Amino acid sequence: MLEYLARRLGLSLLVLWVIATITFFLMHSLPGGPFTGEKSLPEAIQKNLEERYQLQAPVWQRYRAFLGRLLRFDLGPSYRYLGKGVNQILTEAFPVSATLGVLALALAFGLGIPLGIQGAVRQGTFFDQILLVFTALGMSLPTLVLAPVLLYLFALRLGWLPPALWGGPAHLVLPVVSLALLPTALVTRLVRSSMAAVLPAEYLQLARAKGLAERAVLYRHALPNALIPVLAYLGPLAAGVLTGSFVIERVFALPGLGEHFVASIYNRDYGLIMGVTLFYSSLLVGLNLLVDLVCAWLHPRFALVRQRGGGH
Amino acid sequence: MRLVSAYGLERTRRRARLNLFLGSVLVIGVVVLALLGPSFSPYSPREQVLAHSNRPPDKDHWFGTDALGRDLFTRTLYGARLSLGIALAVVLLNLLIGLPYGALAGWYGGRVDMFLMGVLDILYGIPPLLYIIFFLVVLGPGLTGVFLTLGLAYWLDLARQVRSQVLVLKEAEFVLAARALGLGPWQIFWQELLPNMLAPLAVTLTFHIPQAIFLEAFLSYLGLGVQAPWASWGVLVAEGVASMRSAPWQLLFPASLLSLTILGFNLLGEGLQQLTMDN
Repeated sequence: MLEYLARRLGLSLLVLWVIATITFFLMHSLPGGPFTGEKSLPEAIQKNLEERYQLQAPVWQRYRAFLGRLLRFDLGPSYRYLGKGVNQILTEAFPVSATLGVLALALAFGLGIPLGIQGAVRQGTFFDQILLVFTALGMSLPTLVLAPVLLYLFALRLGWLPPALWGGPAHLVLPVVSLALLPTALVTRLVRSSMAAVLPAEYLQLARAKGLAERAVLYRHALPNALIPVLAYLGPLAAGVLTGSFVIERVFALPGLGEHFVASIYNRDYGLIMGVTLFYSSLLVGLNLLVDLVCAWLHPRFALVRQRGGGH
Repeated sequence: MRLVSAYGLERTRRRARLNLFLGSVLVIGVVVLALLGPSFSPYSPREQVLAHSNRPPDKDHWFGTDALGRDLFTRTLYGARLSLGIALAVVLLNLLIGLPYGALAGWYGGRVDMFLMGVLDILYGIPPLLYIIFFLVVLGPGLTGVFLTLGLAYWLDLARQVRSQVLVLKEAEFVLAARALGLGPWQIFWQELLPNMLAPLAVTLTFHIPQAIFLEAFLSYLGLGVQAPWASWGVLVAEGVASMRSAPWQLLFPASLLSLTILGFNLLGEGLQQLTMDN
């Protein structure tokens, strides 16, 4: 177990280093720089700027300096928002994206788990059929379609909810719902099918024979086992929510990280590109690591299979 | 107990057939529309008639017109060609990389496998979306960029699937027999392994298509994908969003067709999956 933990941790750090390195060199291979705009600056100023941000040093020297700072969790200055550090921009924008993402995932699990369980228990009933139809629709409606349609209906037509910007809880409703639909449908499906596989198990019959209430049998005995495949899917799910948040932040004009990412590449804002990329990557890599460890803890065989490099 | 499971099996089969039927109707419908539709339309997707701009749907313009007076029905159908074409190309590129990669790892095993799977593990850790956006900015937005980035980013699960299947199949008796007869790895791959992997591969590829359609639309929406005068569904949806307050039909039609197509492929994939698991 300890060996597995060390191996997975090492792999995650390796992944982050690979990402940092690839991004760094790719970024510096882009034509143009942070201070080349449509209006060219006087030569002296350009030179001063480049000196101040040490843009004239060879790439590998900057790479070494960057890694050194990274080890101290300092992402350096932004080249666009002068006077602001990348750390500061990230801490300003991240709460917006995080609120959206966490609420959407919470909604997805909060709704998806009970719905999936009911679907598995009542397999083949009308309820189950309806559930399957709705989840199929939910998985096929891209955020890019759903978000504008909801915005049009509930904000522009009915005027019930604010159409955009960041503010009180009412501002959260439309973005979170549009972001949550796809993961909700996926979680419902996953829970339904893994519960359906667990339900015929003998230990559940035993629990019933002991006289446990059906609720306790389902939630305390069946669910933990049925949740493992769902848990294992958390990584891709979070990545999907991230993709969705790029769209959501644009549709609802929210000041989150997604917009910063696309804009920073266009602006050649070297510091911010590295910052956002590494930030997102560590988030996803960390989540994957956590999921793998929890799975291994719940199911020691899982770790063993992964360790031997076995397939699914 | 056996009665119940037999009943369950019958139900799964019924659902598989229904999924297959609905999925193929939608997919075939969209493909036929995309291939034949434009030739029946009297309009060109690019011709601008400013006098006819922003017309709601009527009998001349079934889906209405856009801000530049272009017939939206024609544009949506040409968009279908583009979106479906890109998706198909992307999935083929995924297959071209993932199949040999996984097959090599599974067949040779040992150090080759360790190395290839180690690289795969690292690649798995990298969130593809960040790279796709990054490369698109480097390559410049456009058709080729979308095709290359998506094609190079989503072959990982295919490689894993192929590898684990090859691992199982290479121990099968018919493969041992082929080896004993002196067939080379190349012949064994084509004659023995590939035919036995086709069904699950088809399922995975069918699920890849709606993914690719969705991602292409997403990138075009961010302005990184297909560029004017070309218009994929993503571009049309983005234009529709911009004008939905005054001309909601410009969003409604392309968005519906996009969603229906994704639904069609999802149903088809699900049906195929249920059918293959059955056997």
